[in-house]
Amino acid sequence: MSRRLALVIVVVLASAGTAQAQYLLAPMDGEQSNHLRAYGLAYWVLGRGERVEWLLNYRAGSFLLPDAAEVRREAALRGVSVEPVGASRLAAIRAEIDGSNMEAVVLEKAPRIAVYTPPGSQPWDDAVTLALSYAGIEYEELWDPEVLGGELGRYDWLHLHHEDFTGQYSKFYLTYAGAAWLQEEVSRNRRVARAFGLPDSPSLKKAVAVKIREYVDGGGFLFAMCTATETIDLALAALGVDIAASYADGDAVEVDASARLNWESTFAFEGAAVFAEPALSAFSDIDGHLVNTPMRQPLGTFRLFDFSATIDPVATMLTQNHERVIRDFYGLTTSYRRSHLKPSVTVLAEEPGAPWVKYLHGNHGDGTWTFLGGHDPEDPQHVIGDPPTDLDLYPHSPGYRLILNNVLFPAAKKRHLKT
Amino acid sequence: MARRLALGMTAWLLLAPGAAAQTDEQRQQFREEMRRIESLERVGQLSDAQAALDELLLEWPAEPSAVATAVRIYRRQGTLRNVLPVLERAVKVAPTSPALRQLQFGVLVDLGAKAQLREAGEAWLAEAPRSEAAYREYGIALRREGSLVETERVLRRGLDSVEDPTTLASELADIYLQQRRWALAADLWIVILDFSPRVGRDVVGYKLDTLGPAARPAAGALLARLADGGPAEQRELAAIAALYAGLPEVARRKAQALADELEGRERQEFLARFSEVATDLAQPALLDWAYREMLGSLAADTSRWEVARRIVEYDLSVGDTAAAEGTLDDFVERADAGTPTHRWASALLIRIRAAAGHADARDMLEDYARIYEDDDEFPSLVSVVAHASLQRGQPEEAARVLELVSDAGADPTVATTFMLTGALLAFYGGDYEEARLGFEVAAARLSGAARAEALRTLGFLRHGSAAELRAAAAAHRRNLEEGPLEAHDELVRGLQRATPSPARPALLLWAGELAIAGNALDGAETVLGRLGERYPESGEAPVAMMMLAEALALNGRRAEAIALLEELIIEYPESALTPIGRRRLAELREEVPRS
Repeated sequence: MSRRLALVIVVVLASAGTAQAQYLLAPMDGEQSNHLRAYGLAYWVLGRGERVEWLLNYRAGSFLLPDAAEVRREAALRGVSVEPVGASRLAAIRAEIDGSNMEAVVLEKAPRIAVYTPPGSQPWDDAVTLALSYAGIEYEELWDPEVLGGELGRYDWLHLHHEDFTGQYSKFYLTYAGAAWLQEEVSRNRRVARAFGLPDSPSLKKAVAVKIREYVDGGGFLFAMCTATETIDLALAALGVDIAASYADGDAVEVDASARLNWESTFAFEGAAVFAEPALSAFSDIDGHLVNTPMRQPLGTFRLFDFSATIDPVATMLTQNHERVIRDFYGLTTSYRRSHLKPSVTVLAEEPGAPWVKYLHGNHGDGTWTFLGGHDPEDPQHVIGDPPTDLDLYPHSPGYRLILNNVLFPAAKKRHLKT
Repeated sequence: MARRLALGMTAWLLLAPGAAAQTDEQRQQFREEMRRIESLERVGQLSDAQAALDELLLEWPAEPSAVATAVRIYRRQGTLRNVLPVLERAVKVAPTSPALRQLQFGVLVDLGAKAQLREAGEAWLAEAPRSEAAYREYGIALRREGSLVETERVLRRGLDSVEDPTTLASELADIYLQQRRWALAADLWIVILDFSPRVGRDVVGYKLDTLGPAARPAAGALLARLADGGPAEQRELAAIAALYAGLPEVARRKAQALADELEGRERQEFLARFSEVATDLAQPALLDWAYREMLGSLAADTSRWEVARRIVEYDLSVGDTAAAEGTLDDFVERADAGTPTHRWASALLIRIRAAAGHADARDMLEDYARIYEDDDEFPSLVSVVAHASLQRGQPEEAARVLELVSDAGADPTVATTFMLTGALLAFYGGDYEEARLGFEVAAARLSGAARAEALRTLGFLRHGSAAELRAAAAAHRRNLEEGPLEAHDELVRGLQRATPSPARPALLLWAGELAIAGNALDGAETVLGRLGERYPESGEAPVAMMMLAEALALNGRRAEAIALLEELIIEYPESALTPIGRRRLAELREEVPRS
């Protein structure tokens, strides 16, 4: 840490004493003193209306920023290492990129970010808001009334986290029956469902899932983690089928519910079977780990795939990292069984040899979606009531880098965004 | 694990009559053949091992060790399904063997053979309708499969059928606890208690002890179901449940009522158990109560003093020095002078009185010296009492206390206090060279805050002008006698009249610190701002910015604190405070959870 800090100091001092260079390079390899805040710095530059180049695979996905006193000041405040790059060094960097599996992607606009979360949530409730807050990236929160009210169109990027789109309150209803937070969640969902003329929470969440699918169809970027990934597809597959336990909608799950699911309009999965047991805290056999059940599987590590930066820049952007093998982490949905993936899905990371994968991407209509299993990359065993993760303790977190790759991805010039 | 092992042993015993029909020679042959099969397995010759085992099982079809080996070998070959006929034959021969049934259920669960599992489970229940093991093992298998509703149903059937409900009720309660269905778990605990209060107290008490945070709601549900009366074990559990439920007053009331009724050894054991839980749950007041109860009925022997000592330690650990003093006074009065317990209590009492600033500490010290003439602790006590005088700004009194030791230089603790006392007397008296020498020696021997304080004063003495040192000495004494605000005023007044020396930034920083400690934020802003403006290159400048930013943030002036921290990071990138400043900045901007 002290070596890294010294580097920042040296870099800033050296640059302060020299004539202004053309660019500043924020390296993203082992020399970076704060990987997560480097994304925030890039976003901040974009927010000033200036361009950023994302040098895919160059020093683990570095950022090339314009050299300006304000940028240097912001880098110093955030503790981000930057190196001045003059004309000759820039030429050498570009030559190296041209001759290798690398690519320079121009980022030109700070995406407008929306996070789907109930009112009153703390940033620490969700790994993405945690990362955005830590990196200093602004976002707006919206929830069911805003989604159903058609407000998604105002945003470039939408994040979903631990929402249960099957409307069963994450199947915590029986186990946390007396908890105030759950009672509040139940009452809030019922209130909103009534306001939109819907009979119950499962119907409300299905309506929201359809709106989100329409948003992606229309060109939106969706990034989902944890339960949201599995349950949004279950909700979309079950539009005409009752898969919710009686406590959620007043009647039991249909007897042949799994057989009647229609997977045509889902994002990632097909052929899964729902778990009808109301007390079993799991939704379907999509998840490989089933953390809260007797069938729980142990955590391993997952490996990021390498893609061609020129042929497949999107997948390359989403997998930029200074570490290729990452410690796995649980969530109510941790991973995805290979047997339930649609053929069109791109697998970005897998646990080698295991029947599940970790990180998925695909197109839907004119938009794209990315799913990452698990709840919090730096709290692998996450249980309700755990203290919030302090990202100042994990400024180099490779798991959180995956999240922030997704945040910057929509900023890329359009020609890069379709594979 | 231990339970499973016990089950395995039971299975052996159950099979023993059958085995007895075999001759010793046959049994020996069986063991030798098993050893040969296991060695084949170890070297990976699985098909040879399986062939030999198939043959052996013809003669010993229900031998658990052979069947278990078969399951393992088939599993390793990836042909687990093929072991089913072996298991079926085995349970046909010994239909009530828990070990064989356990193996069978395990395989069926692993194969996802739901219908066959239920068929086998029901068959066992039909064979042994009053067997606790049958319901438990069938329930465990269903639970492993994830069929919790059926697990519950089977265990409930068992509860209606078996004589002793303890194990099944405990198993089912565990499932409810896992599901956080506290009320249902508590109902089952009541079933165990009704059957056997003593077993119930032990089983449920152990469970609460191992539940972690879940113990609180579970204990709350149990408490709501426990009547006030009933056997002593049940009432003890109620008191302990109240502790786990976070209701210390209720716990104390219930424990007091029970302690009033119990006598002799039973009473002491109850209080000991109660105090253990109070210790685990960090309830010092209840621990204190339990110890005092125990103390009241103990004879004046070693164990009594031991309990009293623990009371004092707990009182001190929670900062209740008044209670500790009371106990120690009692101690000193009752114990015979000259005994180890009397000496320990007297010494501790002197330390407490000195720390609290009681004037009688010196008199007590003189009494102590008369009784324990050559005591090893005496110099240290002298040092404590003298140091307390220094803390009150009374170096003259400290010097008088130090005279109680004939050779102050012989004991390092006393020598340090002696040196510090001399240094302070010189500092206040204007002999700065003497003071500097004294602080140099004392600082080398001190530690923690006392060392930091001595080093700061030493810095003033090395670099300050005479006028600045007069101001610093006056402020130092006023701080000890009257408080930081008065000291700040004294120092600022004195510095205004003095020519600045290289010690000025450090003196201004101290003035700012005194102002903040005295809640005079305006004064701190003035003096620390002056430091930054006039001495920006000094090492104290970033410290002043950090100190002021913290004070502004604490006083709700967040925007100003943020601006100051930004300035610190930009202007002093090399300062060791910059990473801390960056962290505080992130906290103030709510980018990270507040630490």
